[in-house]
Amino acid sequence: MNNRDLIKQLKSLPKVRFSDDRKFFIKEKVFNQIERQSQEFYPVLENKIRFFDLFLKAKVAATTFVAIIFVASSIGTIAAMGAVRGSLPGDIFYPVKIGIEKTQVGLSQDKENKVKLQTEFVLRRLEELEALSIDSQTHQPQEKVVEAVNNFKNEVSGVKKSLSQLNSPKSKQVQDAFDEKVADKVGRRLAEIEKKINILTSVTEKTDDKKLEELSEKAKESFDEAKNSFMNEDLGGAIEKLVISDGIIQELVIASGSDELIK
Amino acid sequence: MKNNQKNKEIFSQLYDKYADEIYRFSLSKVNSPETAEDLVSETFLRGWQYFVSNKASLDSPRAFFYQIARNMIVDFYRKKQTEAVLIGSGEKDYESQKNIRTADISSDFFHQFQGITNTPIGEALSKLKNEHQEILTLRYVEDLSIPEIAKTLNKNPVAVRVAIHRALGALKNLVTRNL
Repeated sequence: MNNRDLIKQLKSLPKVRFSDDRKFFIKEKVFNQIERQSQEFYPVLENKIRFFDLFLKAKVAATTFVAIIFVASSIGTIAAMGAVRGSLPGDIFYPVKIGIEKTQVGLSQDKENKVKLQTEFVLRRLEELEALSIDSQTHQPQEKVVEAVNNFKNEVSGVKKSLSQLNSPKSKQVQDAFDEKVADKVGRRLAEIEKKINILTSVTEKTDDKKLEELSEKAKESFDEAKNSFMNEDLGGAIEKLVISDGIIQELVIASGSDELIK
Repeated sequence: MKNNQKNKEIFSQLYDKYADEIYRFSLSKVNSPETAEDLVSETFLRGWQYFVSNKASLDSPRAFFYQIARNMIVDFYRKKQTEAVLIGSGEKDYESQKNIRTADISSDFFHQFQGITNTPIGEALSKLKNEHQEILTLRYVEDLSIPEIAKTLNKNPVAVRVAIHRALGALKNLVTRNL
């Protein structure tokens, strides 16, 4: 028997199919879930820190108190609170911001609300990364980006740990909402970088500049790795590679001598 | 809103086109029709999240759904912490859970369920190493292209070609021996 006969026989093997009603049922289930997800809204701010919580968890309360006193005494204005909130890795107020967030998570009594808060903080870490990426055009030290990537990874691990401890009926919903919010944001970032890479590829294809071609190839490789990590649900890995890819793109723009490329 | 509706229509067509294959692939790995149905629904839900955020890069939807299903199956076994279904794995440590591959999972139940073992070629296929079974099934039973298999299994297309060639050789040996 030759390979052709074998292949022919393999192709003729029976195949199990969904019964029509099961296939329809699962489809309905999927689309109902999609519908629910798009209507879901996280009222994270509803998870306010109640005054009496301070007495319930003395240790965490003390940290909060110190944080509040520190912020109030050293800055003393609402505008300064804004500065804390808008601080980035490497900034003087950044540890305060992280301390306050940790306190909020620590004070959260409800496990689901805790995950919601953590999800919100994961999104903040992503925003910080985006801000740092922009700043890196003006020679932002690389360490800050590394710190931001590590912060993002740590936040994601924190949420995953909290999710694994959830066992309420709503836990699936909370997990889905986390996946949707964070995966959606990382997915959008992937799409943005891919768009840039596509433009760059079309531009570099028209030139004979080896350096540009090399950089373009590197950016593409990092992007592919990011995409792969994303598909394998490794959000930290995806972000790490995206930051590298974005950095190379910026280098490419500088090397090309024109910032018109990305527009 | 209009765009969202259009996305749903496209995604609905993708579901109609690939749900059977994904169901079969899942069933071949989890050996339970109910669990396979759950995996199909999870696969398409996750697929939707990526689809709406990144539609432009969904160049190979078939491999894309297989790849998600593969990750779901691995997650399923990680969560269940089940080694019993892993052929040749007696280890119960964390590392063995971390390195679960779909190619390590037996499809014996599925082959019986699907009626494959009723045919001589099916019987020979079910006696092959799980890795060989998986790649031959994807290539010739499900008719996936080499690039699609490469994406699904996260392998280089050249490595896929080599693996198919080896698996065909092993199958040929078995069939010839049984003749």
